[in-house]
Amino acid sequence: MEPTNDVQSVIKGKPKAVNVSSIERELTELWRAAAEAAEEKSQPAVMRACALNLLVYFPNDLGAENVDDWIAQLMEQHPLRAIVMMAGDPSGESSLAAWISAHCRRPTAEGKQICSEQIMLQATGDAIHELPSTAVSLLAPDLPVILWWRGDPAFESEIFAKLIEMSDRVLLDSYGFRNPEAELFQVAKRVKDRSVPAAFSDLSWTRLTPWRELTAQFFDAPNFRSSLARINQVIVEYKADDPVSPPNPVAAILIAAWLASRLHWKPAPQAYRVMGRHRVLNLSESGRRIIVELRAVPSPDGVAGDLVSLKLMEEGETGTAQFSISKTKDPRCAETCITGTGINPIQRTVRMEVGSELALVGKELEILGHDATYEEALEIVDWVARL
Amino acid sequence: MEASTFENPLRRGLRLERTPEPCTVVIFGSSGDLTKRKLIPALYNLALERLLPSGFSVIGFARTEMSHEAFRQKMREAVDTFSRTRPVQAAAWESFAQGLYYLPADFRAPESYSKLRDLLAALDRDRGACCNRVFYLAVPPSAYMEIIRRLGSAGLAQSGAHGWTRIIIEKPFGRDLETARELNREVSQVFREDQVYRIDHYVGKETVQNIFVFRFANGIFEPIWNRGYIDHVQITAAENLGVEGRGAYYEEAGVIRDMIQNHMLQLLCLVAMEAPSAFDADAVRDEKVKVLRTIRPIAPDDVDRYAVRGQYGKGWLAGEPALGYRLEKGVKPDSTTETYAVVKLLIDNWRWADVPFYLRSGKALPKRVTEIAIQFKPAPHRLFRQAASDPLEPNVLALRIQPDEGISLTFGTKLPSPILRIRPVNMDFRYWTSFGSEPPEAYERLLLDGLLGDSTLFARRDWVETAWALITPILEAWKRTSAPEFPNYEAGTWSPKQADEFIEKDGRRWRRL
Ligand SMILES: NC(=O)c1ccc[n+]([C@@H]2O[C@H](COP(=O)([O-])OP(=O)(O)OC[C@H]3O[C@@H](n4cnc5c(N)ncnc54)[C@H](OP(=O)(O)O)[C@@H]3O)[C@@H](O)[C@H]2O)c1
Repeated sequence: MEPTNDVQSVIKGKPKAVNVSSIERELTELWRAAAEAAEEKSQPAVMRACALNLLVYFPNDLGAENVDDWIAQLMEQHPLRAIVMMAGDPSGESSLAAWISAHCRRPTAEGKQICSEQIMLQATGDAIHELPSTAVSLLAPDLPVILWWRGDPAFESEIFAKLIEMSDRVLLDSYGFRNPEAELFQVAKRVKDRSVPAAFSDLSWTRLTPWRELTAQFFDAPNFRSSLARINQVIVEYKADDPVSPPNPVAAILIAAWLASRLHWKPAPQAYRVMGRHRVLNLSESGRRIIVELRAVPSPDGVAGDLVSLKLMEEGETGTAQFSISKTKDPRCAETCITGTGINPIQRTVRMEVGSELALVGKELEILGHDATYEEALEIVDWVARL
Repeated sequence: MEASTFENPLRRGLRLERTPEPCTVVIFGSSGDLTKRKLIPALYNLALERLLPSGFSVIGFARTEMSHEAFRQKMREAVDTFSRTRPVQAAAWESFAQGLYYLPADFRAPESYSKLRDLLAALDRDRGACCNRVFYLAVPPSAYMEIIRRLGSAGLAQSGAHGWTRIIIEKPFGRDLETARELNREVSQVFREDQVYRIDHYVGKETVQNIFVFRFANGIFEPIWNRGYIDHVQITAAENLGVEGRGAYYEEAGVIRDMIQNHMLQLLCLVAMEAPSAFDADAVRDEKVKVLRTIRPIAPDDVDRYAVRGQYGKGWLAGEPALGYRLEKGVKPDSTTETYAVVKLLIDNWRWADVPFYLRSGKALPKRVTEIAIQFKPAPHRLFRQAASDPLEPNVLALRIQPDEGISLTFGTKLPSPILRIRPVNMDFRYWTSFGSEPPEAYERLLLDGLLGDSTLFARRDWVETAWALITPILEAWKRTSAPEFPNYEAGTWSPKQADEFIEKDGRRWRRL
């Protein structure tokens, strides 16, 4: 990081090193100087904007290189105060350093510049434990606090506990967990226990939104709705190209859990079986058995764990019906199809862009409360995990 | 497969509680301007957002000879030019375009409707749209009645056991009370009121919907939203362009018909209405109509006390010399059509007694701006001896609709100096400082509502007729009496002097915008 002292560079995103105890004062000074500079040099006026606090925590320096860019991009949609915390070597010398910077944009050619602030805190040694208390003193008052925790959820860690205590929402990404399935079960347990008041969300769940919408859409048509009560097989395929390393089934588990929670399917005996690279969920509802298979398959696009297809099937004495969604060759689209006894096959291609990790975070920043549908799906996950 | 009435359990927690049922939209006037600029781009964007059902189809209906394929190609170009999400995404377009069909036909010919019925039946069969339809009238208003009658006699208008039928009617809905009533009568011979969607795209704008949220989702404004605190309200819709080649159309309309009778009265209703008992179509529209009904009628002989008109002469717009209205193409050299008007309305109820609402709108003004300004009464007691040269300004709450959507509050504050001097300052909220994303187009929202069968944002028969009943005396009086010396304002200036005098007589003045 190359610190600067020049006001113009700081409001263009270049960090300025500051003393931790004088961060607020430095920010006030920065805006005063920027306003004066704008007036003197007849540059566009600057306006400080903030609609929420975003805490970003890196348990280690890994992946923090691009954080400036990320924050700048998020601020395009969400003016916010970002407090980025980076924990370095815990056995190193105790140190806490801070930088401030701002990201500005001009929505209209004639208008003011809208600016959001970013504060970076980097700690090593014992000072790592100071990060939550430093962050708390820097929150913009009365605005929602969202914690974006990069890495495994560390439920045993004091830092994690303190940060979630000050947050309204916690964003995790189970795709990035070291052991996704086991950690997802952990999250499910905590959410179910309601041991923390903050709302949790998982970007793997956000990635499923278009899949959920398309699935729901099949059954908006009244003539297909009754099929929901007769589904007896579901096949979820998800991407796992490497045949050696363990697959990442979290998205597949979440979509299955969503179906189960919405349709009141309950775990039956031997509810969850891991069969090599595949998993099978055994569920039931009013005496009907529902088998859900989660299959790891190779796929040309996306990242490991992404859903590739979803099929819901009913097979009974009165006939069959199959509702399927599958990714197409064009990675931005999916094909949906309904076939079965007495049904004129209905097929169409729809846009289904999941969006980058940042786009998903941006979507999550729009929601402030608990996502009851997600929490109910996690109850099923927890149930399965305990069997 | 049997139909089911229970709700779709998979919808919980998703953006929409439901998506529209499979249906076919028939656009009358599909080779026209509105279709290519607004309707098809809006439908395509709904498809991109996965908000349209499978089996969704469109039939374009107009005289121009074209094949289905040529229509698809033309519409693709339209989306490429006019959609907020351009350029077109190939795969999504292909799938959407499979549902586009074209019927070259004349709406005056009875056989056109049997052809239409055959095509609809074929689509119901092949695309599973069974048997829901929306007819969209994007044709010149003179054609509305004929199409409606013919749809009726062809048996295409009924909602039946197999599906529903709706009709969306573009503005203008009539040109005075009598023609609006006549059109409504014709419509009601063929369609039930719950099948009819009279569109006013203004109401679909995000910022207009936000007036409702601003008033009824915040606890702090309602207590002061009345005659006890509010002195008057100014609603302005200013355009900084002349008639731009649409002179012939404008000669028939004028600003009263074009802006005030529909859009501006809708804005007035949103500001003045009581909170509805629920956010549903009838509750909201009942309250809107109640407002119109309590507006004091303007007697034909009294019009001068309530309204002022203007017409622009030559001047300057955006640094360029601009023609006077009478020199525009399609305009009569002695035209008396108004391009500017102010209407003062009084609402005779407990909340608003003696609080005038000034509606002003005009073409060829210095700025394009639409806003609602709520001007509060001054502080009751003059505590500060303000120098006579800078009087205390009243508080103003301005709801800006376009451009720079936002809300601002003006209040007095002390100038930093040892002497007590008070200056007005602005506290500003701009949408783009809090939300970066681009809002959907008004037509997207309105078309989706139409497909879902939600008519909250559409004008009901009684609203349209009550609005015309209020406005028609002004039109008639102006038709009877000759216009004052038109033109009476220069293009690029704020108003005719008559409009300034009009408000100054009430001891008020126009906001500087
Ligand atoms: N354009 C806008 O932005 C806008 C905005 C608000 C409201 N509106 C309203 O929307 C309506 C349409 O406006 P527009 O600007 O699209 O008009 P337009 O460009 O003049 O289009 C009129 C359409 O009607 C068709 N038509 C005319 N006579 C016909 C006949 N005998 N049989 C079949 N089709 C016929 C024309 O097609 P053929 O010549 O091929 O037959 C054309 O497609 C009007 O009521 C207008 O007030 C328009």
